[in-house]
Order: sequence, then structure tokens, then C-alpha cells
Amino acid sequence: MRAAIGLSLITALVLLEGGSGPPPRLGDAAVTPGSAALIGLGYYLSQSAWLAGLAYWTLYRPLVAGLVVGAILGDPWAGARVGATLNIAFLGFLGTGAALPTDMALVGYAGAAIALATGLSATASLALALPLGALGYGLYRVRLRWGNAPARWAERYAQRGDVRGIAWCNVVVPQAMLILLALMPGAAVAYLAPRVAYRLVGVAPGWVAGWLDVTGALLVALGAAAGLALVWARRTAGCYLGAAVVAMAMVAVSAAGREMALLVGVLGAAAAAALPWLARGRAADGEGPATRQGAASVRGGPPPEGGAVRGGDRLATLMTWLFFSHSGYSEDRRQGLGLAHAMAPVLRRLYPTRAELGRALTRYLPPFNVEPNLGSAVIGVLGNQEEALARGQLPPGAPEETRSRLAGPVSGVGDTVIHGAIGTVAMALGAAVAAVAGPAGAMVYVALMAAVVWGISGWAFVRGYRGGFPGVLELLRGDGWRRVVVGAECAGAIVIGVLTVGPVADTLGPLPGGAGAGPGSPVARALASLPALALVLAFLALQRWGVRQRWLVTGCFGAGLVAALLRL
Amino acid sequence: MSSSGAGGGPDWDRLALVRVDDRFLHGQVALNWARALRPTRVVVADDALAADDLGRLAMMAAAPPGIEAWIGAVDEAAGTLVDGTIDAEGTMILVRDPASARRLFDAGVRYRRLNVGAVGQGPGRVRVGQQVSLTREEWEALRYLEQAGVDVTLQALPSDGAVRLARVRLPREWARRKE
Repeated sequence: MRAAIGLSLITALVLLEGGSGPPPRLGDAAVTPGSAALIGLGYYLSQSAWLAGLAYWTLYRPLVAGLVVGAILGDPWAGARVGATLNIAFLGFLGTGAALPTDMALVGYAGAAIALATGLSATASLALALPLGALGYGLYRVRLRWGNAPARWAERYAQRGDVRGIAWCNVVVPQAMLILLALMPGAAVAYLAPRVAYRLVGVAPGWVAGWLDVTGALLVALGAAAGLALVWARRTAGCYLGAAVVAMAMVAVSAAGREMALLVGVLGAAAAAALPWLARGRAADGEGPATRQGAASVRGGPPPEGGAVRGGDRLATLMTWLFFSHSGYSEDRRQGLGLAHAMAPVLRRLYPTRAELGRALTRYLPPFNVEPNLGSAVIGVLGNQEEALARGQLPPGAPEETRSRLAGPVSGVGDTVIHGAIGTVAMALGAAVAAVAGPAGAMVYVALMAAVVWGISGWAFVRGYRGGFPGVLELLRGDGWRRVVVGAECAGAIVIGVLTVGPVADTLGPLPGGAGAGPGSPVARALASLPALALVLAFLALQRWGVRQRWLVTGCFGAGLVAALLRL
Repeated sequence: MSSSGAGGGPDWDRLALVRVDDRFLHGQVALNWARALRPTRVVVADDALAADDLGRLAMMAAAPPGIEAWIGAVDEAAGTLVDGTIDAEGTMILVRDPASARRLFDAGVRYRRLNVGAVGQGPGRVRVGQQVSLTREEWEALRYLEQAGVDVTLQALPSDGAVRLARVRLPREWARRKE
């Protein structure tokens, strides 16, 4: 990775230095220092704590980043479409437990800036910006490492019962570091990348632009296949192929086939998502209540006279968690600091003396990691148990035990439901809508994810607080989340089917025999998307055979080169 | 015992994955690895978890759709795998730490590859990888397995590169004590 970063930096410097001729003639939307700073701000916000848990699900995604860059550079519509194309390449992105495959946000901001400022195609911009993902990932690792220091400082504040000190360590220090690690590099990349790209394509022989173009198109198909791999199963294979065939038929018979295919795809996806809920009967397995015995629940327990936790304290805990769970994320403790910060409003009410509060806060600083949205249930249970502990209804150490018992399973379910299932469908849907309706795609996606993130967080928190450990256990053992996953997998396969015939086929235009051959007979129009379908299925097969992503990406660059040279 | 190897015992090559992960079935395992390898079952071999009713219930419940979960003590897990009660084919085994991995191996589960995924910070542990911290003894346990022919690598996600044990940078004081 370091070699890749070094190589791209040196290339960039050589190209900038070497261009002593006329200044780069950028497109109409040249990136000025001011707009570069704004794009850097977008990249900063995409990792910041200021969006109530939405940053990672909205501004971090190229689909949304493209719209933002488009708005900054004066062409939101073009930005939205470029962002959608870039995002399809990351449909298979799974960031779980602090490990990210790459930094799709930097690729998104830089790629959109390149495309809009230079007029290069979205796919060529993708191929050019892809190595920046490694740079962004390197910055992310630095951020985790730097986060160790404030997480350590917080220990002194915690012991003193100083909640403001903890907030300082969890919010102010890390978010300031992020200015250095995201805002400034983001702005620099937004300013330099289009200029470097322009020079590169300008000085390079003609086939280089073609090479980048085809490579990007292959990467888009690879991304669609990776997204499909997440939802692929015997029962979803039919959903995918069926949706693709229906979409092809609509494109063949109607000039508005794209729009119709999208509409039918959305309806089909909604039906697929609802189907597991309509199939009753399997629900009654009657396992739930048996697990209640032996677990401590404080539901209905009378609150003590003094120091009763109020609704506002609980809300403050939920909101602190929602905003700042990942603010002071660190290599050593992960969300430990965020957890102590989030528990503070409840603990402060329960423990009026500084010494007691200090002991309670200190218990929450050790390493902790949970999927943050469904993980709000764990925060709720911990609040519930702290109240019981203060009343003497639980033995000391119970919250710590709960934390270690629940964090893994709740993350497993939360990641499967939110990252694997819902997130994949929502991203695919946003990209499909953007291909037809530009900015509306990103907006639909953001609205959907806001509902999911805030809805699940609030619901899980209340459920954990009211039901305690048994309530969450019941939630895990129930089949509600399994229905969501099964439904979302079918829905995802349908939407990716529509996506394959639409935007994925479009990007393959320059390939011989690809789509975009213009009008023609209905049959020709329908068959034009066959190469895209075949390519996505071929990538899917390679992935399922266990070919590593790294080799597939390298293969895209190689195949793109061969295709470009053949066309000479 | 449907997956018999040449020697008559279970064919350990057909294990989906053997992973050291102190959080067992969390997002990285339930989502990333489960999607990449499509195991048919997950065996969690851990004495403490096997003895903790509530923890076991929660962990069992988190098994992804289509994957069955089995949780038991290390020796018990080894026994059922060796005698074929649990088929090795398509099984993903999760253990808490290198010591458990070594116990499992010594009890007859002769896996060929060991994935060291996540071991959190703790007393005496030093960070040796992105999400792996080890004590000196745990490091020795991994070395023992490597010398027994196991391909030991550090790797968080299927999409990450696998780092061989020999290429892991060790704390300086460990190297010095060795001489």
C-alpha cells in the first residue's frame, strides 16, 4: 500500500512539475482553491461526528459525495450521475469492526472532481481516483492511532468524575485532529487530482484515455457483482435474472423503458422485502419467554427517591451515543471512550458524588466495539442495569458482563442487517434512481438511510432500556431480523438486476458490442445489455471461486489495457 | 463421518476456517467471512462461553440465517470434531486466543491453516497487528503451531492481505530476551 501511495505521489509531482507549458485548460467547472476547500469540508464531514450517526451512511458514499461535488462545482445533475457510477463500484463494500477495505469517500470526492473539472468520463475518473482509496485508508489508520492519546487522557478525567473532560477528549480533540487528517488532505486532493489527471491524459498517447475508460467500466461491473455476491443465494438468483430480463424487455419495447424498468424494479423490491412478513406461520416458534428466567430485568422496579434517572437523561445518553460513538474511535479502545461519554448523563444522575461517578465512568473506558445502530440496544441495557445496580438489585460487575456478552452477537446481527442487507439495497437503489433522475437518487438514498439509522437506533435503545438483557436476547432469538435479511436479499438482487441493464450496461458503451449502440431494432436494444449481464455473472463466479478482490481489480486494469491496445 | 481423509479420520482440509477471535461471532465473522466462505456451521470452542448460559444463548442467536451454531468447551469441541459427530466439511471454528487454538490442535483437530483475526488489548499483551495483541506466551503458542506445519497468518477480513507470522514485527524486548 505504501508503495502505491508513494508511486502515485511521485507521478503526481512529476506531472505537475513537468507541465511548464500553457496552464491546464480545465473544463467549465475548474476546481478553484475555494471549491477545493468546500470539497475538503465535505470529505471532513463524511467522517465527522456532526451528522447524528449519518455521516458514514451519507456523505461517505460516492453517490452522495458526487452530488455534493456537483453542487459545489455548479452542476449537481452531472455530479449525481458521476457519483452513482462511482458508487456502483463499491456496492460490495463492507466495513465492519474498524476494518475498512478502502476509503470509498476519498475516491468519491476526488473522482467526481476529476470528472466534472476535466470532462473525463465517470469510468475513467474512477480508474484514476481508485488508488486514492489507499491514501484515504492510510489516513484512517493514522486517525485510529492518534486516537489512542485522547482515549488515554480520558482516564484521568474519568477518575475525577469530570464529564466535561471526557467530552473534551472524545469530541474536541479527535474532531480537531480530523481537520488535519481529512479536511486538509481532502481539499488538497480535490485541488490537485483534476489537474494531475488532466496533465496525465493530455501528455499520454490517445489509447491511455481509452484504457482508463474501459478499466473503470470493468470496475463498475465488478462492483455490481460484489454487491450481488452479498445477496446471492439460490432463491435470489431468480430475482436477479428475472429482474434483468424484465428490464431488458422494457428497454426493448419502449422509449421510456429505463424509467419503467426502475419503477417495476422498485415495486418488485418492495414486494420481495414485504414477502417474508406476509408468510405467517413460521413466526410461532415459542422460544422467547423461556430465556427470561435467570436474567436480571428491572422493568417496573420502583425508582429510588433521590437520584432517579429522568427521561431527559436517557435521551441525552442516546443522543450522545448517536452523535459521538465513533468520534474518539481509537486503535486501542475502539468505542470505549465514546461509550463512557454516552453513559455519562445517566451515571451523573445515579452517582451524585464525584468519587462514585469517577468509579462508574472508569468502568466504561476499556475496549468496546459494537455496530452502533442496533448496538444502541446494548447502551439501553447498560443504562437499565446501571439503574438496577444503583438500587442494589444487581451484583457489581453485571454491566461489564453484559457488555462482553452482548457486543459480539448484537454486532453480528446489526452488521448483517444494516451493512449487508439494507445498506446494499439502499445504495443500489440510490444508484439506479440517480441514473434516471440525477440528484433524486442521492436524496432517496439519504432519506432511506436516515430512517433506517435513526429508526433502528431509537427503537433498539428503548427496547434495550425497557426489556433489559432478556429483551435484547429475545430480539436476537426472534426471527424479525432474519425476515429483514431474507427480504432485503431478494430486494437487493432485483435492484442490482435493474442496475445491470441500466447504468452498468451504459458504462460498457465503449466496449465492442456493448450497449449504447444507439437506436435500432427492439431486439438489438434488448441484447445490448447482454455483455453487462454476462460480465457481472462472470465476476460473480470468479468471486465465488475465491479469486481475491485485489487480483480482480488488477485484472480489470490489465483487461482494460488489452482492450484499449486492440482498438488501436 | 462423510468427509473422510486418507487416514480414515476427518478431512481437516475441508474446514472452512479456523480463526482466533476473542469476540467470536461478531460483524466481521457473521458478515464478511460468512459471505466469503459460506460455511454450513460455526463451532465456537471456548470453555468460558460454554459455561456462561446467557452469553451462549446470545451467541447462538446471532448465527446468520442458514448457518447453524454449536458452542462448547475446547476439549468437547475437539472430541466431537475428531469422532465425526460434527462434520469438518464447511465448518468454521472460532477460538478465543492462541492458547485455545493450540489446545484444539493438540486434542487432534489437525487444521492446516490458522487465521489470527482479532485479539484485544489486555494485561501483558503487545500490539503486533492491526487488531491483534499478544502476550509472549501467546506468540510462542502460535510459533508452536507453525512449527507443527500449520499455516498461521494474521488477517482481519477476507479482503485484507494475510500476513505470515514470520513477517510480523515483534516488540524489541521479546527479541532481546530470546538471545
